Amino acid sequence: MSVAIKLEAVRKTFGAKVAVEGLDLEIPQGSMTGFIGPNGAGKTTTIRMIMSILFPDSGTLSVLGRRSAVESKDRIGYLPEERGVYRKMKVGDFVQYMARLKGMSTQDSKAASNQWLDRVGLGDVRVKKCMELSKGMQQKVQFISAVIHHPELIILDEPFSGLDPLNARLLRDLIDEQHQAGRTIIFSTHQMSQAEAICDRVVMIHQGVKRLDMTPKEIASQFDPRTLIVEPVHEDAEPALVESLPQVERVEQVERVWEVSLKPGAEASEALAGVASRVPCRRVEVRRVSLEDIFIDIVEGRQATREQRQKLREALRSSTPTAARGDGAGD
Amino acid sequence: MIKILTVAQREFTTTVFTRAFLLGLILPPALIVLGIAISVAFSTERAPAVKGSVAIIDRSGQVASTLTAKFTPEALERLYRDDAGEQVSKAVSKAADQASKGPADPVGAVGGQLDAVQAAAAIAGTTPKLTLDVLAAEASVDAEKARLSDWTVDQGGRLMLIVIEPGVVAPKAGGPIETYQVFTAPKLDPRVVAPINRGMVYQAVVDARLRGAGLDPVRIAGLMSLAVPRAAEVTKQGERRGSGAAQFIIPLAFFMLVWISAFSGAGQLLNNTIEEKSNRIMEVLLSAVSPFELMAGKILGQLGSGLVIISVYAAAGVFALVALAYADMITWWQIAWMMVFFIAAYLFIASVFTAIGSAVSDIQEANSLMTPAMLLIMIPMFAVFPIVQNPTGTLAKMLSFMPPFSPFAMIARVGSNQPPAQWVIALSAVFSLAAAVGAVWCASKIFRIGVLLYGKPPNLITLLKWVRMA
Repeated sequence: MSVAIKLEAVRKTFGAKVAVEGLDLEIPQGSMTGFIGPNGAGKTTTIRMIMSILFPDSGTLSVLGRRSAVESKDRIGYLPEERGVYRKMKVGDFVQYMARLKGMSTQDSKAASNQWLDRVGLGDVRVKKCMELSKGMQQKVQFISAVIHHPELIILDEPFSGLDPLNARLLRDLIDEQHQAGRTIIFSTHQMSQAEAICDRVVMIHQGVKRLDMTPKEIASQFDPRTLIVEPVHEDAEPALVESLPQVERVEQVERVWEVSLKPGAEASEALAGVASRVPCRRVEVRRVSLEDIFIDIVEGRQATREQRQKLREALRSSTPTAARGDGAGD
Repeated sequence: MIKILTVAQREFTTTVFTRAFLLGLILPPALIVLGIAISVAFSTERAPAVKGSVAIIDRSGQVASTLTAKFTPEALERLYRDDAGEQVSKAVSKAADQASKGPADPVGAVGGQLDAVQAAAAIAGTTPKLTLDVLAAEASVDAEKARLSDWTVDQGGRLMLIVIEPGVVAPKAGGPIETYQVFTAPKLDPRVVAPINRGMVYQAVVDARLRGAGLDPVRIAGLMSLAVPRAAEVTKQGERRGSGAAQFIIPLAFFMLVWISAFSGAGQLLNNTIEEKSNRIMEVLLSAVSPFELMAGKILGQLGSGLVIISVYAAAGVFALVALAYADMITWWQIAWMMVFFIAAYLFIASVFTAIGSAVSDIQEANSLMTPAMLLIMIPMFAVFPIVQNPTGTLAKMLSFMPPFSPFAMIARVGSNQPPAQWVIALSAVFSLAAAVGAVWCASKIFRIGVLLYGKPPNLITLLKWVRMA
């Protein structure tokens, strides 16, 4: 499979702040890659460098076989995190204008604009001004603007932020459709569950450094399940009974449930049997590893306390894209 | 290049094909004409109808009696009515006309006309109600002066003190020939003072001197009255009344056209750039075009709107000149140079404004950066009047080669009646255009960094740093 994007030892700083450090990245053609990481991780900066909106201080970059995206802008569709519309422009005119900027002819852009707007249910608002649209509708218009010219590579920066579940679902279907059509797709999100659901490749960035770059399959095999969820029948059951098992590292009690962490290399099935033999359980199961857990493991280390993990988890879930930044450094 | 044109086309159509643009094109000149009409219609030279007394200390003993004789209500009425004044001058010139034709008595003719004027003036309106107060020759000037400060508009009182020096008619014992002094109450309208000072006291002193020399003042006045003709200009198309003002109006018009068109186009650019930033549309656009293409397209589009403005106004101006048979006042090469200097001026200003617009997030933030830009706007305004008055002067020559002021200075000189040689104009154009290209280059550096920045707006020094970066 040929490579759509290749970054080698890319570094970018804003003044004293290092936004991206030593980033190596290869995005295969036709893949759907999720960039994950909290806000300020370096996702947007990386994407902006891929788009040639920012330029790296050092390192090399190739996009669709060219040294910079400038040379292949018309083959790329980009939905930036900072996205807006011309408020006073008519919806149809705006989409057509964007299509023409991407190199489409006036005639083609008109036909494509009408077709797309009808498809996403915005055919009726074609002659309305953009500012009259709801936020969800504007997001759809922006998505159309990004893909109307049939790009080979589609880069979406936080495409789901600010969408209600229904519109998020619609957008996911639209993205999936582009993927099915063989386009290479990169999208960034701080919501790990989104990435987990649709990506065939995950790149995790934290504090400007790539911490993970794998397919979901590789993740499943490398990050084997290491937590059991145990709900004892008797509330006064002793955790020490489980803690003394050879496979168990430690047990944390959360209300009526125990979270049992296993030692590295321990076999989950053995531990499961061990727990069941020592404590009468209402429920005992192997917890599925989420990207969030992996991320927390990577950032805080396996030894992190429950409080540390919880704090980071909350930060990951609550973080919303910031609208304004002072130094130009994105996520 | 196609992308630049696409951006330019949008910029042009969204600016020009709007009601606001049409209003902006028509309203300012309409308001100026209306303003002039209103100020002409309502302004008046007429003195307010104040009341009070004019005191005189006549140390020569030869003026007070003449003044007393002149100081009648009818004479005051005549003195203060500006329309009457105009009629007097007409009557005088008519009388002089008659005098030149035949042996008729010019003085008598003037007198007859004046009677009619007086009668007309007495019927209408109000004028200052003044009385004359002749004080003793040895009265103390300081003491009498002090009373002036008690005068009020409502209560009246003494509003003027005239002190005639002893040697005003003839020098006393080898001394110099002297004059008179006038003191007034505080805040007295100058339109009350001037007619008494110039029209009455001055005339009374001159009359006294004429009589002293054995001449008849009335006869002299008749002989002196002469209507000054206005020069007639002889052009290839024929004769017309002299147009002394045109030599100032034409260069000023050229200057104003360039100034207004350049700044309205550039101003629009500033607003649009800030709007694009605050609507967060920049990055969307940058996914399709490079920052330079975007900026160039925007500058080009507004150049179009500026060209529309300058063309419409210039066409209106040429039409007016043709209609008034002044078409020879301008030549086509002047108009061609105007377009060249407009483009140079616009490009420079547009670059500065775009750079500022790209660096800020909203219009409030732009204000702090606009202060230096305001100099760009105001300096040509201050400089244009001296340049028009003296198009070959040092200031004119200097500014013609000092971008970004050179386009403004040079176009005023091109429009003047002493235009520089064509090669000088061309050299100045080269200077101006080179500076404009430099400005576009600097602006593109700032634009590239600025458009993606939000948050704290940069200051001028930061902007200059960006120019030196990358």
